[in-house]
Order: sequence, then structure tokens, then C-alpha cells
Amino acid sequence: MENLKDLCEKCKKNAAEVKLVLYIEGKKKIMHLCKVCAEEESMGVNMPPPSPPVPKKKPPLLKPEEDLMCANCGFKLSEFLRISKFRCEKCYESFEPHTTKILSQYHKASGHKGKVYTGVYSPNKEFKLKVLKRALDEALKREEYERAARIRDMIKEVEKKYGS
Amino acid sequence: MVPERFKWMSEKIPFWLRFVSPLYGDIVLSVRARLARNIKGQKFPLFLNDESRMKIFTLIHDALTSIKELQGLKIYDMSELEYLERKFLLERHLISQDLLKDGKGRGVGIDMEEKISIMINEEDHLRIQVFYPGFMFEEAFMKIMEIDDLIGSTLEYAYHKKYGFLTSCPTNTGTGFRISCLLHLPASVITGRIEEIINYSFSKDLTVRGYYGEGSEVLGNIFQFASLRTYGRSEEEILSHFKQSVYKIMDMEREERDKLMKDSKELIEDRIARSLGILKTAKLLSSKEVMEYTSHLRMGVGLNLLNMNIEKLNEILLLNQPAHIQILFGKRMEEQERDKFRGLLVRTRLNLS
Repeated sequence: MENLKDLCEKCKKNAAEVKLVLYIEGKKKIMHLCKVCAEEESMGVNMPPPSPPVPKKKPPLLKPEEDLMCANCGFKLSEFLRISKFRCEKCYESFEPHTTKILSQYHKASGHKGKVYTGVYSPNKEFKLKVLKRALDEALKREEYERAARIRDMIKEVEKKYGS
Repeated sequence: MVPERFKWMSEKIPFWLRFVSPLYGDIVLSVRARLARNIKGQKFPLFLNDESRMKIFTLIHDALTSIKELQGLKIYDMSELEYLERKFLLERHLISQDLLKDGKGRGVGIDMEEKISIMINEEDHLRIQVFYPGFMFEEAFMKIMEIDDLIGSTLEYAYHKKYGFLTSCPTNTGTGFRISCLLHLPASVITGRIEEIINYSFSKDLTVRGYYGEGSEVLGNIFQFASLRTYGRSEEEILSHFKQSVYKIMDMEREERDKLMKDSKELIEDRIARSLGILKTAKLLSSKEVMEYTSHLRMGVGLNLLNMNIEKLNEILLLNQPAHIQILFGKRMEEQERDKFRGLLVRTRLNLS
């Protein structure tokens, strides 16, 4: 009855009694193991998650005459599409309209929103207070008083530091 | 001999593991925020040779040391560290798997409390990170915005009005902002609801990873959840959206815990008791075992089935890791010997009460 197939895949000594499904770096792997090895193998790796569903984007076939080159660093659009990394900051503009298309496809949004960079230090007091007050409301709503107290202290600190 | 450089660090517990919120400590281990930034006029790190990378490293090093508020920062050049030391930093989540590889002109700046880690010449010139315990999202957010303002007014960033902050990978463009946390979800793993949680996370634009981040495995039922998109939404929106999802995941885990307590209390009590017994008496312990058994204890504390300090479990979580064992005991060891010293460490810590 016991042929090679029925032996534990790991120790190859005991009979395989357990079918173990493992996820290793997002890949499903089925192993037939004895009880001892199954316990060892499943230790702490019961349910590692599959990789996030990042769409495997096959670069659209670019005809040689459609390829672009970054004037600043000499990097080619075809290379960028292959490895999904820019080489320098100027590549962004050099590879338009592809840049905009890729950004909006991946992030499902268009145009930068959020922090505007000026290069000059500013305390951003209003912004900080807005974030904190919203968090305070949220903590109170969830009846998390310890956290609410901490956020209140932070608000006081911001007001003290930058003048109210 | 094991280098002594990080001996001081190995003997203390970082802030993010030391302070435990009574409300969340058994589920939310820690919170991390990060910003990806690049220096204007320089090619991105992946495309630099050793020499230009060194130049940028020096440029960033000098800028960071010139900032008054960042005086406590210690800056390390990866090429000057041994593999074991880099592994040690990885185990403390201070560097990424990427920086584990040797490379001239790549490094990290760390503050004494380990609230801040600034990686230099990883995928981007700067990867600013902050770490906080429990549910301290606001603290982390304020801190990282402040550090960014300080560095951004010292060095000139690569920025474009339309695209935002320019990063090597288009998945980070825009805000360059990512928020993540380590969640301990043992009940959902036992009941199988973890699958629903993972699918929910994907539907909410969150990624799910293992204990050491990208490409790592899940240890001790601890999962890393992180925000995915960076472009077209503000930092505050990303944060608030993420927090809502975390609340939801926490609620799901709590539901599963209640279910277990109702339907299989004896089984859970048995698991906790066995885990405690093994950790308190075993002579040889692998890191995976320790992670798994301390997970049961942590759940026990959360369910009021076990009276134990979560800080102590956090300490074990940190110190039992392979590079930590070696630096702590000042001895280079193979796996088998490490298991022996790990057993000793865990036994001693748990029997001290």
C-alpha cells in the first residue's frame, strides 16, 4: 500500500497523512506530509496572504519609432515600460503621455493632491489642527477616551508652539 | 567575535514596542508612516554608480546632521556594517530587505528611541520612516510631516506641480506617503476569517504582507497592512481612509475572538496553557515556535484568560530573532546553538515575573 507517493514529502520516512496548503510569497503550494512534518511546516505560516492583486501589466508593444528618450538622462521609454522605474525626475515629462496614463491607471486618480512643496519651512499650524481635531472627533465617537485625551494634549501643544 | 556596535541597542526595547495601549495592545502592535523623497537634479539611486551614490550619501549625511531637531540621529553606512548587523537592523524594522544587500553609499539614520529611521539611497534617495506603538496614527503623522518639513527646507526635493513628489517607482509618486501597521490576528487565522480580511483589505486599496514587509512570511499571526495608493489623494485622506479600514479589521478580529470564547473556550485555554508550558520549559526553541506560541499568549492576555504583561511579550518578540540572539549574547552561532540560547532567553524572561 505504501508506495513512494504516500510517503511524507519532507522526511520521506513516515506515511503522508496530511495535505497541507501553504502560501509561499503568494504562491500556493500543496504538500503531502506526515503529522510531524506538517506541524513543523505550518508553524506560524498558516495563512500567509497572497500577493496584492497588482495587475500584471504587459508593456504595450512599442514600435521602435514610437520609443521616446529622456533628454536629461538618456533613458528610454521602452526600458521604463519594462522595469517600471524612472531613471531621473525629468523622465516623467519626457515620457508623456505615457506617464499620466500609467499614474492614473495605477492610482485610479489624476493630478497630485496633498502637500505642496515650497522648499521653505512652514509650521502648517492650520493643517495640523485640522487633522488632530478630526481625529479627536473620531476617538470620541468610538468612546476611546484615553486616545482622545492624548490627541487633546497634542492640540494644546500645537497651539502653544505656534501661538493660538 | 560579534561586533559591539549595536550592543547598546540590543539591550533596549524601541519606543514602538515599549508603550502598549490598553485598548489595542493585543491587536495593533505598531504603526509606521513613511515618505519617499528624492533630491532635485540627481538620478535615482538604482541608476547610480558607487561614486555618485557616495556623493549623494555625503550630501544627505551633511544635511541631516545640520538640522538641529535631528541631532540625536546616528547615521550608518551599510557597507561598513557586517551582514549580521544589517540583519539586526532589519529585525528591528529599521531597514528594508533591500538595504540588507551590501552597497556603498547606502545607509540609514536612526534616533535613540527608534522613532525615526531615514534610509538613504534605497529605491529613492530618502525614505523617511517613523514608528509608533498601538494606535498612535496621529503622533506618527505629525512627526513625519515635521521631519519632512525640516529636511525639505534643508535639501531641495524633486517635485513637480502636476505629479507631486517624484519617485523612482510610479507606485510612490505624488505624496510618496504610505501608512502601515502590524496587526495580530490569531482568532481570524484559527477560524479562517483571515481570508475575508485579506480580500476586504485589497478592496480597500490596502496591501497585506508578512512580518518583515514585502515578500516576507507571516510569523506569529502578525500581518503588515499598508496603504497602497499615493497619487491623487492627500496624505490626510490616505491616513483617514486607512484608519477606517483598520478599525473594521480590528472589529472582525474581535468578533472571531468572541466566537472562539463562546464556542471553543476550552480549546483556546488549552492552547494558551500549552504555549506557556513550552515557552517556560523548552530547552531548544526555534524563532518560528516562539513567534507562534507568544501569539497564543498575546491572545490570552487580550481575552483576559492570562494575566501577563504585553510589554514582556513584545520584548520576547524582538529579542528572540536570530541576529538579536547573537548580538545579545555576543557570540556568532549556527541555528542549533541559537535555538539553545533562545530557549534560555525565553525561559528566563518568562519565569521572571
